Amino acid sequence: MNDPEYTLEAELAAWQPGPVSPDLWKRIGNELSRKQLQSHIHRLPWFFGSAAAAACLLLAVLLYQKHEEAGKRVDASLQDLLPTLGAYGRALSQTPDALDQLLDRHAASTTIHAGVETNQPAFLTSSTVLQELKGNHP
Amino acid sequence: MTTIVRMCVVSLLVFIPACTWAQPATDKPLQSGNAAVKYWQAFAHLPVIDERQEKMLENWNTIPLDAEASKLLQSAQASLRCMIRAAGCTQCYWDLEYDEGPGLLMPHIARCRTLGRLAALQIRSDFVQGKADSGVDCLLALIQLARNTGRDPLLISILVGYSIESNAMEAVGPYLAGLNQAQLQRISSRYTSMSQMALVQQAVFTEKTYMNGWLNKRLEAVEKNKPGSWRDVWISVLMPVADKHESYHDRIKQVASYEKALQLSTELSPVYDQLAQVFDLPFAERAGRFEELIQQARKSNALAEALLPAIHKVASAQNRYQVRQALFRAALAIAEKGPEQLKTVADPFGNGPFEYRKLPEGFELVSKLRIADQPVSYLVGK
Repeated sequence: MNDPEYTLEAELAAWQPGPVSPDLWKRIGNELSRKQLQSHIHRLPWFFGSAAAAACLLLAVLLYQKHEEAGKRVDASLQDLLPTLGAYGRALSQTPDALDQLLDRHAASTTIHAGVETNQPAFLTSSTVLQELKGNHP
Repeated sequence: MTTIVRMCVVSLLVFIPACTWAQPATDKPLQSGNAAVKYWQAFAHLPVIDERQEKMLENWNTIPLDAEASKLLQSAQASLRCMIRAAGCTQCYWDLEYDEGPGLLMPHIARCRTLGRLAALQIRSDFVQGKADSGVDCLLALIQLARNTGRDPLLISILVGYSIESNAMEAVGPYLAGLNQAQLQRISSRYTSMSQMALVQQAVFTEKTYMNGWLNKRLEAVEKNKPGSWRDVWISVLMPVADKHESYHDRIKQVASYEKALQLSTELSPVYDQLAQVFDLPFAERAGRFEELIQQARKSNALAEALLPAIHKVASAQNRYQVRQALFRAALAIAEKGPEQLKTVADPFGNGPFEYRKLPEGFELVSKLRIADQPVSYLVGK
């Protein structure tokens, strides 16, 4: 068998890896468990971060719902501030004075905003007109 | 060609008179406007009043007519003048947005009431100062304001209208016996020819259409647009009631679906018809019927509390108003032509005329209708 190819095959066969020593297995095992632990430790912040984000999201949803309901309540109570058919109807259903009180409240708000000029006398008195005609107006 | 000319001539002959007929009647410029526009001018000139003046207006019928009252009236002259001009208009259209349902704004109502109180105080002041003609002008304008306030078939409008007209009658009562024939005739002829307010029965149908009907339409519309939105409408309608009654929260929550909400709304509709039918009963048979129907509806339907009107209160006010109107007509007739006129006006709640009591300086008329165990009466003179 002087075939050069045979010789090469034989050399290659001689290079087969020997058996792994128990010490090497142990070292590899140790290394792997250390890396696994490290990986778990690295994932912890992500885990807690995600949990916190989910909790925040849940809280936000709950708060939004509560706020929305409160908003509707505020809207509902604001309805009585406006002179609406619904507000007057509800007042009428309550005590006999409730409708009068609501009308009073609406009347007060209208006269307060009526404008300053209406506080003046509605008509100029004749003497004022005369003073103006005479040029004695201050 | 001749045919075309003939057609043009015929068209013109038809068209010109049609245009003439279509023109609005402008031959009465002082009568043709919308009174509501003039009332809004009156509202714009309402005086700014402080709390003390507010109290004065509330007690317009008892406060002394001193310098303070005079100052308040002086500041209201522009407003009152607009009110008197409004009384000359043949129509009054407040242009309310009925389609808004419970959110229908009625910004004129509280203002009408304030203006009415100012006018009632002005009537007292005019008569005390011997300005009877001015007092009569203001009285007629005030009664017209009442009728125009209650022109819309809405319970609140009608109630405020009743209240304003009652103030007018009360304001003139002490001075009615002292008016001359011309002034009395003027009042009685205007009073009988004035347009009436809407009827309470009409208002019940308006409530059915624009409160209950509005809710039906609204629920359907929002649900179609965005499923689940019915709940927003539901809460917005019921929450004002729930705010006042904690126990009502559970009743709102019990309605968990759009179908249930729509069903409750639809089921309420016939109750309005039943309430309106009670008005057809004789007065004696009405007692307690309104309350009974409302209580029954409230037990079975969460919506009833929020939507059904307190019709029993309005019906009671309507009774009082009908009697007061008859009392006023009778008082006018007696002041004009003597006590024998008593029999010309019947007591709407009795079997004959009112009871007549002669007083040293006037008379008192008493009805068979009793409110809170007191007979409704009208004092003329002192």
